[in-house]
Amino acid sequence: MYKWVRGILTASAFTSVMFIMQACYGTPEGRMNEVTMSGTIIDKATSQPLSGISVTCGSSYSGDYSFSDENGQFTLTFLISREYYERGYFDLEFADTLDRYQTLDTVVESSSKLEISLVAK
Amino acid sequence: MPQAFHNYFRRKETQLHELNYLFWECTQRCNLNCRHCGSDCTVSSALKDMPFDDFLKAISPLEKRYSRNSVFIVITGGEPLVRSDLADCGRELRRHGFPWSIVTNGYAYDSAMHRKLMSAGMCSITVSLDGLRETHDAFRKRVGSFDHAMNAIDLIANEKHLPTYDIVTCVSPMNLGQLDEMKQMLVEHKVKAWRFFTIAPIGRAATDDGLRLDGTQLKQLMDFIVATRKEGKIDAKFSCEAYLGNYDRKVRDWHYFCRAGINIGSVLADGSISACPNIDRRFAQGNIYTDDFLDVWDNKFEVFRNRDWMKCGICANCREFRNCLGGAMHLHTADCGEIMECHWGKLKG
Repeated sequence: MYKWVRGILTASAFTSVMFIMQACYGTPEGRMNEVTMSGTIIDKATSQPLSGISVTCGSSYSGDYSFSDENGQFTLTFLISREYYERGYFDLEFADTLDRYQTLDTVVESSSKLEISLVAK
Repeated sequence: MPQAFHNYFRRKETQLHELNYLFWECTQRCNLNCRHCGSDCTVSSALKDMPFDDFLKAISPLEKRYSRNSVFIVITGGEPLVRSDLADCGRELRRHGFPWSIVTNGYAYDSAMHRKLMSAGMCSITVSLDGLRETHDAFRKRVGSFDHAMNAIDLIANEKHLPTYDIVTCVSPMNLGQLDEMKQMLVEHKVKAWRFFTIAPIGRAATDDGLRLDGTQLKQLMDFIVATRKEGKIDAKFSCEAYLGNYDRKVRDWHYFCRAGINIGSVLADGSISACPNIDRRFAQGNIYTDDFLDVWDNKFEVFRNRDWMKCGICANCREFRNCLGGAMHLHTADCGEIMECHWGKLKG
């Protein structure tokens, strides 16, 4: 029972101070949420899947990145603050490592399955 | 929150003893030789650094027990930055669902290291700063230590992707009079969080009496923290190292609670399983090279979770024992129950 209460309280910003550890010898504990986004990247003109496109999140704390595979599909997992997480949308950047396509910086919703179209240079 | 409710909450936390915070003493080597170091580490330790795979193998059962990102790994030493594979270790920890951080003296933390650790998903960092230039360098026994630490602090304070960080200062009679000037400097450098320790008579500091505050000086420190918190320019707080009576809630966000062995565990450089690394190593409860970490965490640690044994010496008849439970674990040694230093007693006079 206490374990459930603890879980609820921990999730609440109001009382989370009770559970944020800071050993006298250690660092503050960075509370964050993990988000996973996935989707497909295609060429806007031909609708062909694009591989080797890097995907990063500008609001993420960490430097996580991912690349699209040969089917244009990608999955990106990153850590984000509670504030951004609760807002429910994130800024993602799609950049071609071979510099064939224009970089796209766009805001996406957390629940959506993404289909991203890039424009050739 | 009333103290009585806090004591109930602490009892429940102790019964549940979920592991939330795990130290990894990744090395005992250090690039400095600080006068007040509590860990007695050396420039070239006889003990080899623990291979990362050994640590990962030991903690891998945690992935099944706890949800992703719920166990926070604090990489410490020695000085963690002396390990050339630190960023690789961090990246791998993130991949396995463990957010991680480091405790550093900042000497080897330059912009290249900052980028490397940030891109490996570092989630928090603590940098030590023990005074203005001359005092800090004297503490650290190396000229230039202050400038290196301030460079690290600038990188961290200006990093928008770092969830949290803080600067820690070990307060002694040598730097007590500099706190106002330090505050001004840290605020100018956009530092948001500043935490204070006193120096415990352990490690290298055990034989150096000149480092410890007397009651008047300790009260001066508490009053400085209270005033700084009221001022609101920087989030100042005293560490969780001691129960402070009336000062307890004025210098921290929460009541005193030593969570060592309750929510905090560690894997030390030789594989020992314990709690905070500054705790007497004879309190180790097992070793990852011979024991299963979770089995030790679940079934041992009695000495951390039932602290009745601390009710001896000056604590035997103390009315505050129900609130402090004998004080912080690192202020006790395995061969003597009595606390080395009582902050509440010092403040009371």
